[in-house]
Amino acid sequence: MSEVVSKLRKPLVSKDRTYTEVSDDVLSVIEKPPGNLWKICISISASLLLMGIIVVGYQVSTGIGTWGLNKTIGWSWDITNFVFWVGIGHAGTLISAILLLFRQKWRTSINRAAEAMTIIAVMCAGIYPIIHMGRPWLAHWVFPYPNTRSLWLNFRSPLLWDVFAISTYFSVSAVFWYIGLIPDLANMRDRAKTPLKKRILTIVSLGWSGSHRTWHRYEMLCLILAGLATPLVVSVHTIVSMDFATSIIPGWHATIFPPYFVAGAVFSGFAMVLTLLIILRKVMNFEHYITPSHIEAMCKVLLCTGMLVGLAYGTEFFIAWYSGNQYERFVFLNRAFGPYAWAYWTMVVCNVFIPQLFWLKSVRNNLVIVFIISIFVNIGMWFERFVIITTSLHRDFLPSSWAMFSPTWVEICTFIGSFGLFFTLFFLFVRFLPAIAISEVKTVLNYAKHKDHHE
Amino acid sequence: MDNKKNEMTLENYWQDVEDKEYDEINLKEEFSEGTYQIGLTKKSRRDFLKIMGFSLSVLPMATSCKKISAQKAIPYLHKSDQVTPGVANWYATTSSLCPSHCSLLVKTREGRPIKIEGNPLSPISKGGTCPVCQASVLSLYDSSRFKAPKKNGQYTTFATIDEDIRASLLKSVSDGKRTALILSAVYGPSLANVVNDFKNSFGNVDVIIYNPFGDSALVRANAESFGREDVFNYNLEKAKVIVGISSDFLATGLDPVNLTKQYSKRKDLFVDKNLIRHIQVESLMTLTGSNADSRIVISHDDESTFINNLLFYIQKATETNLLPIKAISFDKNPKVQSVASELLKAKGESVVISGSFDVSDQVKVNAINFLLGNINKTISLSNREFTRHENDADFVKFLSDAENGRYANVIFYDVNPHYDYFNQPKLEGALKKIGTKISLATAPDETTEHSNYVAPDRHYLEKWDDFEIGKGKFAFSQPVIESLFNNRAAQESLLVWAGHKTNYEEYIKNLWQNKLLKQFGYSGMFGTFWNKAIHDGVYDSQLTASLTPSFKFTGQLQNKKTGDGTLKLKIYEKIAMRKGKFANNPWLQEMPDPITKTTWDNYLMLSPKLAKAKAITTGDLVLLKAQGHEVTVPALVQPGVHDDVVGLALGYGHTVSGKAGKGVGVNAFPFTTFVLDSFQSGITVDSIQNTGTKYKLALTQTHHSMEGRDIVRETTLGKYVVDPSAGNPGGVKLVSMWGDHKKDGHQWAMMIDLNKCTGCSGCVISCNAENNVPVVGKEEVYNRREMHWMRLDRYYKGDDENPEVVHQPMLCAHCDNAPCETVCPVLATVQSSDGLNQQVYNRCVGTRYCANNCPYKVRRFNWFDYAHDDKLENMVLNPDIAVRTRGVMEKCSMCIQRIQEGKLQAKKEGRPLKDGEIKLACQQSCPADAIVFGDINDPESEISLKLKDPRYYRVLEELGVAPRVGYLTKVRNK
Repeated sequence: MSEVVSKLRKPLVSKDRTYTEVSDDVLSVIEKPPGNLWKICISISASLLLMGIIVVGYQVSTGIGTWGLNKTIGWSWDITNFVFWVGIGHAGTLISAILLLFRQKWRTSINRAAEAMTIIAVMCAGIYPIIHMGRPWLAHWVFPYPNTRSLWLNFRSPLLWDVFAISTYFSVSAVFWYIGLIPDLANMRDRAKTPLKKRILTIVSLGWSGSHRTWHRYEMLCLILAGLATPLVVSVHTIVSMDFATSIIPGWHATIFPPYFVAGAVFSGFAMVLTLLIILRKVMNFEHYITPSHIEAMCKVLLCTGMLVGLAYGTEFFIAWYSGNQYERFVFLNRAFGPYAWAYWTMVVCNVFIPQLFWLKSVRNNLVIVFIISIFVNIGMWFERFVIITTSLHRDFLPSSWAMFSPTWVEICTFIGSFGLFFTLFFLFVRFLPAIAISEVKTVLNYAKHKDHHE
Repeated sequence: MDNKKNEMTLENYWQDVEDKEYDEINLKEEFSEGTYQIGLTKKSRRDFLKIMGFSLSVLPMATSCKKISAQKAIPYLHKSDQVTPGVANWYATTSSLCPSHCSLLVKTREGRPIKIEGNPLSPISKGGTCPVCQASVLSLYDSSRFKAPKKNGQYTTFATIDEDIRASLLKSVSDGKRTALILSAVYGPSLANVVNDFKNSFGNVDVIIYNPFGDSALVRANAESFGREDVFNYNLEKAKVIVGISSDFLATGLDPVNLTKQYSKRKDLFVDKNLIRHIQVESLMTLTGSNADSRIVISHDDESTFINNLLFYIQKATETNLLPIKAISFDKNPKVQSVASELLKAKGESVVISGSFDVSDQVKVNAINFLLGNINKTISLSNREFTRHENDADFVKFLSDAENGRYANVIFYDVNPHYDYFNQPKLEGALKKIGTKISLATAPDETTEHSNYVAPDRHYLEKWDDFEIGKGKFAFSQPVIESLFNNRAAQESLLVWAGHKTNYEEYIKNLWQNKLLKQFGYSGMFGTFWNKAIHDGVYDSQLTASLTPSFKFTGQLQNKKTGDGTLKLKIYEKIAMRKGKFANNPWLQEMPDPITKTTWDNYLMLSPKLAKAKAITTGDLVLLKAQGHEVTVPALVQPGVHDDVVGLALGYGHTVSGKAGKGVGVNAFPFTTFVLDSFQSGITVDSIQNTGTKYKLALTQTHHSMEGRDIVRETTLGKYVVDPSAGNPGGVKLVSMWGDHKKDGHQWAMMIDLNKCTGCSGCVISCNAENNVPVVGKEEVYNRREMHWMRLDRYYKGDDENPEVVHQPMLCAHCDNAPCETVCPVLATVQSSDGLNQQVYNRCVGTRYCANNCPYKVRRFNWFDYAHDDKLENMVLNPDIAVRTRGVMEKCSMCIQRIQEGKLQAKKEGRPLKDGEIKLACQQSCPADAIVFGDINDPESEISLKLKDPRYYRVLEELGVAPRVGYLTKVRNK
């Protein structure tokens, strides 16, 4: 594939590197024994994870009553966290699949980490639907497996669609991520010094030989998987949104939800990718691979999707008024001015107003500010789900049942525990696997292109 | 399964000829197809009960006399005639809990009483029950009850205490001292005879009726004005105008079930379009006031002024001078005049009911009713022989006599003065002078704590008794279970101490056989009479009161002063807790108060204006000081309360009780007083201070406005007469993409007449008992997790000072297009072929999606494994209903077990099911008969006919969920 190199565009890898140097840059970090910083990070996150496990154990053995839910508000932090984590996952798939199909070369240095983030986030998300059940030990009942009791499932229930959507999404993302890893695993195999390491890497790199045919098959499979994953980017959050959209609760029952949720998911996902990569490039010395122009591109995505969700917020209000439905009108006024107004305005400020700073190039190029804004967006998007779920439930049709929700320590610790899981797995990932797709980055090196020109 | 094959297999295993035949008959009944035709004939409740095997009470009769040793348990060799496992036995009995003495039917399963229903044969309660009666079956299984007699706090035997007590009683005779027998009431001929025998055998016994905040004032006023020491029987069915003055007669007064029954009949637009007009004059917001067509809020002190001036205007209009009174100037006089003119327009068809504890007030009310010609029309005065001779002054006199050392012994039966006497130091001082204190209580209370001996009485479901419920009308109670503990009927204890040898059952029989029946001129066989009386639970001797009403009052009238703006503390009774006797009943503690929607507490009720002035909000702990007594109590801001009054409910703050009653709320009795020979409330409040601490008041409803939504639809009578669909704009035009459900066979539906429902919440307790609904406790109610399948929504309309109140029973609507069903991933909630929305507990994984998607929010989730640790309490569980485990959703099942039972019965008998044959628990217990349930595929059924009524509507119909539970609009006569 011959490439036309623009003289105007900045190179994607900011420093001249040879193929070997790229491999060294990425792999030397994980071939060395772990540093103290990593040890501290993993200890903290593993401790949080352990706390989460204990708390979930307590909740499962005692009952959902340990949460702050009640007869009016049947879901709150549980499903908020579920949607939050699923949403975060979206950026990875978007980067690796859709940007691959659109041949966006800048994705190469961030897609590996983003995809890993996706898989880990979906794991975090997947815990919630299980532990939020009254009887989680019967969670397998939501799968259509043959049984002697002639029991079957309700295919009209969006929760069941969720089961399929999430499990499909997780499997496809995991396969896609693993396939993408194979050339790099082979690279690691070739560099491995100990027999055990070599043996393991030989198995997991599936006999990669680096031949033309291998590369060809690899590229084709990646394209096919990208094609498979692309609709999933849209479908997963569409289906998650249907948990709400197909219900009859005002504030949930809205046709705008699928696009609104997908935009929100991409928004929150890119925010999380930014949060992670700004740290990663610094800690792992990947500054040349994850360059300010990568960050800037992601800022632009955030700006765009942030305005999309802002538009959705506005549309919801307009439709609530335009529908003439008193319950709809009430729910939206209650969101903005009711007892949870603070949550609503936190959401609006974080998601709509703050990202407007990305219109300024100076902001987009200031990594500290970008990092802070990405945190705000993460917070804002968590609140978006909280607002949708809790404020719609807490005051629905019959005022006699109106109630308030406040989380218990169990819910808070479970949420923190899910961050523990997320970071533990992410730190393990950056420690044991190449966080940058070496083979893909090599295709966008200036070094190679210069050479092509000269010869 | 193939029935034929099944039959053959069973046939191979018959044991003897009789069994074989029996099996064949049963199988035929069991597996015959039957007919599912729609019933066209109506059968009475009486027939239904006969069919139900509502037969003679041989089992309890056989087991109640002596303790049967259970050392050898042997299985049935021959099936008992009386007990068929899985089939309920029903026994008639009578509640001794409150002065209403409602006649009841008790459902027993395998020998355990599990549910209480009203006895439709009763001439008084006519099948209704109140929450207290419904819950009393749980008190039977109260594990805190006395297990045996006690002497100085230690368990002992009856023989021991009998010997001691008899010796002490005899000693007092020889010492020239006296013995006091203090009872809450002498309610029936047998108890009256026991008391007499007891009195006569010693000669030094004083019988004192102690029933604070009972009917003392009314009884004395009746004695003074009509010469009859009795209370009234009301006949509201003949009334056009009711004026209630500070009387919560639909909830706690004389006979709430009976009055609600009559009241609701006059609110039934299917019976009479000329609805009753109810005017309520009160200072606090009561359940009765919340049902009034027009409510006048006045201060506590002005309640007497109102009565006085009402009488004045009526005397003026009728140009009589029955009582020498003058009008008192007061700002509500125009209202008094308008009430007077309304009453005068309905002469002979009106009634004034006062809840005053002041004799003068009651005399004036008697004069009003007399002048209006209501006596023997809407009010009749019975002349019962045995009941209602109460006088508050007797007890106070007893105390001063005791202080002087006049008494050597005191026996407390069904009274708890150490809890409910207002002046505890005086009481304690007086009782210290008495050597032998004996309590006949069933469970520990403050008085048993201070008694030397406890001879535990039986729960009323364990004992024989009789009650005089009207002139010549009697009710009977029979044991429906062998006594659970080593206890003895209180009457029997008294007989034993008096030296009698007969047991109480024999005693009652003898009395009836040898004395009473002769008196009534009964000439038949005693056995026939007895069997029928016990079977029916009631006996009418056909003796009627012959009363010529003549008002004669020669006493001195006391005029109270009018309200002068000083803050008064009014003590009132709540429908569930009453005066505190039922505090240890968790069902009642968790029943939301119909007005305040509070559970597990009493609170200082104050008006919004006063609360604002004192910077108090609901849930603030306030320090209340009055009468030299102070208490810290949570505040509750209650619309409709007069600004010069704060209210505090009786019945709470027990220091000695079981686990549900102890330490719940504060005791209000120290804030009462004794004036003009009556226990009264209304003392001046010294101060109310906000302590700044918040208290968790467990409210089940925290938002009180309908927010302009047409959830409860209402209109006025004037508009209704012009257009019966007034206030009910009519059905929404709904478009559906889907076809309708198949609607063959039975299709159940329910309708609730909001004009009849008073909000009493009896249905809530009935549902609890029928469906094993768990009690979750105060903390969980505070967390908004109460489990009640049936709830009463209460909304306010209008201003804070005097809002209009509506009550709306809310339960699973059994929607045809149920939103809960579509969202359950595992099909744990599904539509049945007869139109019910069913919850399959063992399939439920607990996602709670169904509850979120329920627009009525009637689904209840088992957040924890609700305690069933108390093995004794578990005996109350209905074996037809699963006890739900943790993590499972539950909700109203439309008493599916009752529907199934009714259907099976009809099928076995090869006849169509009749309309009204199946009664749901809530419907059966409803004293207002507000709930109609039936088959909409039966064109003649009550529900089918009523569905066509222009008042019919369905809540949130516009959502297209097609609920099966509908309502009839409320019509206010204003």
